Amino acid sequence: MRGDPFKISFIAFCAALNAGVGFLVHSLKLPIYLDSVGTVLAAVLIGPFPGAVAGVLALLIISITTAPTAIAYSGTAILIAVCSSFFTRFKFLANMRATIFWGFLLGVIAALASVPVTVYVFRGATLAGADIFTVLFKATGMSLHVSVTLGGLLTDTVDKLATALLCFCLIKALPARLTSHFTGARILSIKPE
Amino acid sequence: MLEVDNLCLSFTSNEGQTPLFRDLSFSGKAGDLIGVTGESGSGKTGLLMALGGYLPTWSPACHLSGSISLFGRPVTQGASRDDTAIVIENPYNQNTGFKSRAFEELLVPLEMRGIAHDLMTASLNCLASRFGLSQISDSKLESLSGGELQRLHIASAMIARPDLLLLDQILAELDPAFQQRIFKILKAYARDRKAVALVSFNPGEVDPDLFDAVVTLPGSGQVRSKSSAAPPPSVGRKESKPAGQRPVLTIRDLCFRYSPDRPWLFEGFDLDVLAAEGYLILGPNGSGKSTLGKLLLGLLKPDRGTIEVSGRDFNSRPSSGAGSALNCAFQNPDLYFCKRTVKEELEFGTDKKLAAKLADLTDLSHYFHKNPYDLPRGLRKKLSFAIAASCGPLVLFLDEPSQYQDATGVAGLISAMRFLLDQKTALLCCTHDRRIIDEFPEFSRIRLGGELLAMPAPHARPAGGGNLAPERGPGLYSDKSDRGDTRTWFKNTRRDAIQSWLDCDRQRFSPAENIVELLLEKTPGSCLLHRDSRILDIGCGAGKVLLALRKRLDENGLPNVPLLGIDVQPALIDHARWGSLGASNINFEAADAVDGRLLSSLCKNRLGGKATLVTCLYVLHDEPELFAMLKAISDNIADNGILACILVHPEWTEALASKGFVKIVQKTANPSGRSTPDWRWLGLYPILEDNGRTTYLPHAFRTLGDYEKAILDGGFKILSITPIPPAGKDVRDNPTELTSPLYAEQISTVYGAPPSVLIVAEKL
Amino acid sequence: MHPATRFIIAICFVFAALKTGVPLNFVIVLLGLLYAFSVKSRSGFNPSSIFARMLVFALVVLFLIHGVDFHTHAISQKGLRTAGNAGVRFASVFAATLWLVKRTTKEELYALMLSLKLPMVATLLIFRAIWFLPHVSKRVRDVLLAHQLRGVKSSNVFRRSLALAPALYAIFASMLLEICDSSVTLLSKGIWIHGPKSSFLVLRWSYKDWMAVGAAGLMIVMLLFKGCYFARS
Repeated sequence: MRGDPFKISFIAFCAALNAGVGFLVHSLKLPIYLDSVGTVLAAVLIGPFPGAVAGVLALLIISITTAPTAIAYSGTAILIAVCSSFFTRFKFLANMRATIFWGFLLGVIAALASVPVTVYVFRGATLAGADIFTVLFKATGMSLHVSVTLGGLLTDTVDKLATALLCFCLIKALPARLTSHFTGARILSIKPE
Repeated sequence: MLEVDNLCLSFTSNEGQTPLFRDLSFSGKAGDLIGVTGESGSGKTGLLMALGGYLPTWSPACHLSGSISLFGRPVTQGASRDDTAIVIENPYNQNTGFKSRAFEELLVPLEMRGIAHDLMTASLNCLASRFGLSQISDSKLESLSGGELQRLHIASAMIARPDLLLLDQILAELDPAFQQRIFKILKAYARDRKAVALVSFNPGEVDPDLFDAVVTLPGSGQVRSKSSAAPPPSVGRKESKPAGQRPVLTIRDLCFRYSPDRPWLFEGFDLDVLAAEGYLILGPNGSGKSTLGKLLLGLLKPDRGTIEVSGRDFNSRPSSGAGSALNCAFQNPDLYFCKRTVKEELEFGTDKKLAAKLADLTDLSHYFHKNPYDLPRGLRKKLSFAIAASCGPLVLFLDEPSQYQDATGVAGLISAMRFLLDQKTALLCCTHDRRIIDEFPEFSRIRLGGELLAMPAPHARPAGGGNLAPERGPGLYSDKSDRGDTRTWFKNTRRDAIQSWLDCDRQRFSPAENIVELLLEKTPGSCLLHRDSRILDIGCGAGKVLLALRKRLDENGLPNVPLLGIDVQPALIDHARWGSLGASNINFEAADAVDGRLLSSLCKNRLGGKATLVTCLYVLHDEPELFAMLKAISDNIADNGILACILVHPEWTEALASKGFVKIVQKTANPSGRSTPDWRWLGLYPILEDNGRTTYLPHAFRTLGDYEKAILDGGFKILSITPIPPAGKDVRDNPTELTSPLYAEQISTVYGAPPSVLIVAEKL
Repeated sequence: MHPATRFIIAICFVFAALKTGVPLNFVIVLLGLLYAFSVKSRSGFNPSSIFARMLVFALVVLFLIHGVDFHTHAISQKGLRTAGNAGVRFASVFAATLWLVKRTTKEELYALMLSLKLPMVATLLIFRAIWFLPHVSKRVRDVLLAHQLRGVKSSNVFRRSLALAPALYAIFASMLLEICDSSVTLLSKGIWIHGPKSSFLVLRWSYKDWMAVGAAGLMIVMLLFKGCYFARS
């Protein structure tokens, strides 16, 4: 088993970025998590499998540093990686409009994928901002499934949209020297500018 | 043998192909130390990466043509090799992440090669002391300073004995004392290993005569500035401090350390900085230069004390943006850049007029339309300086501003700094670059920590009113109160102790015993032993002596008498071997002469219940350095215990004897009475003698060829040459027992091929 | 103790907490939590305070979701039980992870992964990620400070959101440059050299480990057959 050490380091970095970007958001006091920036970047720049590895690895890191229950959302992370890699066929991150559309869709997928885990494993608690919405919806008398789904949809769509837009800006601005490592990436070959 | 033929390197940027150099040809012999130099951006790093075959990993945007061959084998890009090692300029990027402690990180290359545990220990001790890492080898990696980390990585690159050693701009992180030493180490390495070592450096950074050959890269042919010459230094521009001017930065009673078990970096540190005043902050690696910057910016909280900028206390974050009181040009330049061109970068959040002027002074105007990340590191560093300075702060903190700069870069930087001073900006500049220090004689100097303990610390009060705590650095000469007691007590008991010891089992420690006897005969003070070439020990005679002495003292109820041995020879101390000898009550420390802190801690704390053996690698030291260290130790320990200093160099023995050491020449029994040539100088240790047939254990640093030649020249006939058995086994127990070829292979990886051997020779 | 033993014990602990009945599992988890929070960190890494905060947050959320009936403003028994069971799940995982994280050093983990003959890629990925995390956080802090010093405003939410993209770009691009360098050093240190790797730290499996693993195994077996065991008695 050998690989390009750059790619391995990059995957690990994306994982650390997922976990560390929370600190950036926290420092800027913004109400989003952006905790899949690394997954999306790795998936789009290298491929779905590395993206999934980065996503799972990030959850592993979050598990040992902040909340050990995060690892249960591995399925969602893999789904995000596969989807965002697949979406690049449809100009995801290539232009603003496509990015907004697919980013929104990614949010919906991510939200729905994490519902079963939240409901059946953790009985509604995700240890993230979505919990507040869950509590609110539950208080209005909805069932647990519905409140978790709605809470997830509310937060994840905004979050993944922001993630997608940030990734769009990032990839667009990277100089050739840095993108040269990702020569196989579809997104760079359709890069308009 | 390294041969480079018609090498061309170019890289792709947003504007297309940019050639770095073309038609480069040179060659290096085995044993050469080659310098690579050229302006910033001329492709020094690229060349080293190409030589190591790392180009595709480093930057796939590079295109290479031409041929490289190393010892007859062509170097293919992207193929993984185990005979090449590289150290890059940024020490923080080179950790593998597998380890949390320094010494384990150092050993990673050996782990990757599957080397066994006890062999690792042997090479660790040897290298750690050579690189001055002994006292930090057990520290956490994140607590090391940049320079310490860089030394660790150089040691780590050398530990696997590569044939080609590439060091990319390593000097930037190293302090001057170590910069001089590293060349000695590299030369010795290349010579002994028959390897090729390449060091890239900026023009003017080092004396080219240190190298066997220097490759000068022609440069990228970019336009040179018309006004790069620095204005003549305006000496005496600011001799007296204008009275009544309010300081822009005031530091009062600053105390800081990273954790309670680490020494104070700042203790009662006071400083007043006036507008348009300049300070140079000097000090070796790890003395707290960057820490001061972090404290000023509020990234670290001081344990005590206040920092005020223009009268405002800020223990919190400084105010931001143009016109803020304090700004900092960070050591890492890449933190700032978030725009797509240099021009946008310079105009973002800054005073535009100031920015334009500074860009002009630092020659950045030619690169206005480039992406900052496409610039070479030297230019990125200048750009970050220009950005920080053009925010128009009252105080500008510069962390190693001349790092990665060539002569033009430094000239531009100096003129920009002068310009800033004229704009009434106060400058605090951390540096160890002579080019900057010499340029600003009028700047006040602040020296931080880590002074060599034996030398009087020239803590001249900074002329500009800055004030340092009087008691800086480790206080070696501490606490003399209980010495008198120890001495009387020792004197009274000493005779009995010796007598009772001499009475019992006299035969057990034959050579060591004699030394111990002689040691105890003298006053318990500093003793100097000249080790004759006839001690029948494997290398560590001093250890044996200490062990015997410690045992004696313990048995006679003197368990607390400190005992310090210094073994001045390039020996390997091997924990495993000592463990097998039952030497559990002996500490091993490998020191080097500049390690003042280690020795101070030894003298202060550790000498208690154990004997301590310090091994100094004299081959790498200057004599004054060594004498200073020995003097410092003996001054400190003289009344308090026993210092055994075992030297192999007769001249040094004489020299130290003339400096007040008591000299004991140890005469061991030499049955034949013939004077042998000094084999020890060849690195040979006679370990068995039998009817004129002597078995020698050669020292691991030498190669077989040297020995053969030496032995033959000395009138000996070689009977057999066999690899030595593993560490941990005493050769004398069974000299004929030789282990597997695997061991020979491993030892050759650690010490270099051919393996260390056991030579049986006969005197003709 | 061998690090593998620690992992087995941790798994056993979680298993025990999930499998035992109501009063006992609370006791087990509580004891486990107390021990995990009080034990000294060997690894130099101590996330106790974050874990504690997260756990409290989880418990509060669970209580609010299940325990409180917002229509009748009463606390429901059934809801409390659901919340309690979910809380035990959280707490047991938290306690086990915290203990492992505090007691396992990097060196031990490396030696363990080596002795388990995991592929080098996996080892590298995990250790690189762990290594990058503090670097990313430090870079975030440095970049934010640098941007603040050059005048990026952060007075309101809108301005702060605008500051996000440049900061993330600076973090990403500067780290990417460093990844290029550090991957070269990884190669230079010999990560892909053929043949077996060794570890400076030699792990030893002692009789204590046998005892611990034996006890853990016994407990799992007992818990698995708990049903018939209790039914008979």
